[in-house]
Amino acid sequence: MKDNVDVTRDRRVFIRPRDFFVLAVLIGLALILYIVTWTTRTSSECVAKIYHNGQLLEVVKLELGEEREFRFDLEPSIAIRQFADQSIAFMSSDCPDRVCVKSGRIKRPGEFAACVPNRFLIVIEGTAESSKGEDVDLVA
Amino acid sequence: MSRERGISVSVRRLTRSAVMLATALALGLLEGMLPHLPAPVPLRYGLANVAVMATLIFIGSLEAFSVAFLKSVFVFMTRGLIAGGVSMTGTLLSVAAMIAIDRFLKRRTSVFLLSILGAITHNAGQMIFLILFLQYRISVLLVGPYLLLFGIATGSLSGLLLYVMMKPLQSFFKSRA
Repeated sequence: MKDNVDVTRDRRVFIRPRDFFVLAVLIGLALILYIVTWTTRTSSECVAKIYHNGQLLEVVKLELGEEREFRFDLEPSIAIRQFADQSIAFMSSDCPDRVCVKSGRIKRPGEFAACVPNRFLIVIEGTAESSKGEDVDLVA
Repeated sequence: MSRERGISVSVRRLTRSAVMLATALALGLLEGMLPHLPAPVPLRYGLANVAVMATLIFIGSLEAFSVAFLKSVFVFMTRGLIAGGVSMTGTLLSVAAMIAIDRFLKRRTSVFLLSILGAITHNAGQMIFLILFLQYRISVLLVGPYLLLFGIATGSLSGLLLYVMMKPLQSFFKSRA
């Protein structure tokens, strides 16, 4: 008897008119978030922060024409390269999926690449964000 | 007689759930072989979610939850603690959200809505794990738009896949053999 109920459960439509409303709300929310973070997103000066295990290892200023390679003693297989076009990328890692390397070059604020098995993270931040931190000090 | 029938129903549910779990695992493996999603933040296609959604629609909430949970346990065993944790938070949040919306809309949720909500909550769950447990300094505000838009894109894709598979799945679940 119960099994008969199961087979009637499958009458589903692909999309209903009200779903377009939900879709519009979600896209609207994405747009609002995008506009709210516009100032940090469009700041011309960016820094790449390299974290390991939540600890900040290095702050790399992404300047035009600057190319450098970073290696860290605590995880020798990880190589991070800063490119002349103000982008940065994981170049090598010994993790199985290599999601970090496949993420490719990142350059805009908010973009990040993570090597989860090795607990490495690169986050791009606009410099407008770091000035907010200084304001807090001023109050204190 | 009725007792025997009860047993055969539960065995049928169990075996069907097992088949869906195997499908979820196979789709998860297939996803690993596909090229990386061209997103500015690391995101996945969420193909395995097709199997979880099929379980939710054709079998039931508890079975869908079990399939999702065991799929993550498999990731724990094969790819380690951290990858397992990332998978577990994303998958469990996603399946919980899908079960909740399906209950709320009295099992009349469209495949599209189910799928995009599943995809967005899956991505969000993974980010929550990265931020809370691995102390990743990711700004939710900056990542938010990507999560939403790519969730809609990958969710539509997996929803479409499930909808295309609806007919064969119906005949599979209706067969008494």
